[in-house]
Amino acid sequence: MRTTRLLLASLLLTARAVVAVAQAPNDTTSVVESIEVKRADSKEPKHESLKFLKDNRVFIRAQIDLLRVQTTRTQAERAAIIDSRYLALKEMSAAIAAARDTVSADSMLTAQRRLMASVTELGELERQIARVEALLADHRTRLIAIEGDFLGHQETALVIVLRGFTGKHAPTTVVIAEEGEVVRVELTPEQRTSLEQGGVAQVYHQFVEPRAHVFDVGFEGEGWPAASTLPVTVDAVRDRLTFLSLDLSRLDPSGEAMGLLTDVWYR
Amino acid sequence: MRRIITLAVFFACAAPAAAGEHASFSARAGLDVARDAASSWAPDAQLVYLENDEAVGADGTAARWGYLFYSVAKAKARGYSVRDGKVLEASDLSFDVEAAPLAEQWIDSAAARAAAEARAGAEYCRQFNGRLAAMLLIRGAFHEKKPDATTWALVYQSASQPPLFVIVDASNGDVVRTLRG
Repeated sequence: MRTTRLLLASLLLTARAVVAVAQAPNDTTSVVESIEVKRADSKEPKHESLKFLKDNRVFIRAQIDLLRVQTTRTQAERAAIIDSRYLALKEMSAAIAAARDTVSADSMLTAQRRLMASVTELGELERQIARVEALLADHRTRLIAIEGDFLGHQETALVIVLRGFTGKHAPTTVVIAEEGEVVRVELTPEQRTSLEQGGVAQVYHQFVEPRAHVFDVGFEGEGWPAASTLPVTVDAVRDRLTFLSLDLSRLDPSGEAMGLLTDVWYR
Repeated sequence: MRRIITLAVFFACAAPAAAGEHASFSARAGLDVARDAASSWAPDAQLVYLENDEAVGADGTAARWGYLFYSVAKAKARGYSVRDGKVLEASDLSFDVEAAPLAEQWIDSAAARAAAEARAGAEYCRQFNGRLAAMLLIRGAFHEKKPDATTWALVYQSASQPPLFVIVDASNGDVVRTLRG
């Protein structure tokens, strides 16, 4: 995976007081690599690919072995072109700061004028309101410009969220595995409490290949059988943020029929 | 390059692919999809090889192309088979291929096929009832004089004759050699 960033956040959903939790930045994420020897998987792919290469791999590798790759690094010192949109962002920031100053000044004036209470100054007050409205309109225009520049740059990514632990013990660990890549998400007591009170936890947020993925999702902790995993299929759409919600409200950890509810949406 | 003569000649490639209703596209048209997937797998992944996964039509398009990427950081190669604008298969290569990254500029499969047909491919097919079995893009393996060159290799075969290899310089479409093996 291109990014190993793992975010954890528990969100308040119920009216009860539940503390929202957001953590697990890069510096707290640990990666442990383990090695296990297994028999090679002999199953044939459904759609054969790169057949010529595979059929003639000895010849092609021999040809490649005859080559020598020379890497040359050339560093040129010169001015770099800056994306004009970043300059525009700077201008926008300056405009926003200036607007803030204007609003502050207007606020101060308004406070002073409360003391004056003169009917003749109502016209000035209206002009100030109009000016603030114009500033808001400018802000809206800037936001639209930013959206136009930066929307559409979304890369293929997948977010997995968990919910539905009300009335049951939340697990201490969530394990998400696919093709030898295992992500273990430890839940803190505060996060588990939040989940048990109806909260939602984001346990996975990574760039993924735009294809159908089959994850084995497992849970560890009190009341959760260690060996059981749930296969979950999700089709990650290219250049979109795919959300996969796993609802465990109807899941019986001790039963054979797991009853996992899934929901997928895209942004 | 006489060793080409001893190649196992991928007769299975001769089986017509059942493209069905799937739209055909050129090799470059599927590259962005494969590259996006590869960059998710490894940020340093680079395209090192591609070939048709289903039969190539007369216009140089196919319903499925296979793209192989190599990651130096992972010391692994991973292939992506693209059809209908989506990754149909993604799998690690089961053997080592440390091929050099392909050049950024290469002529598309349609132009490569046209060049090969004009030089020797069409004549081979006409004379020996042959057909194009495979076309692949690789750097360094088939161009003896310019090993740095990225080349298309088009492989024609016939039931009665040894296969014909037409090597096309992918930078300009020149046929740099033909050989029978």
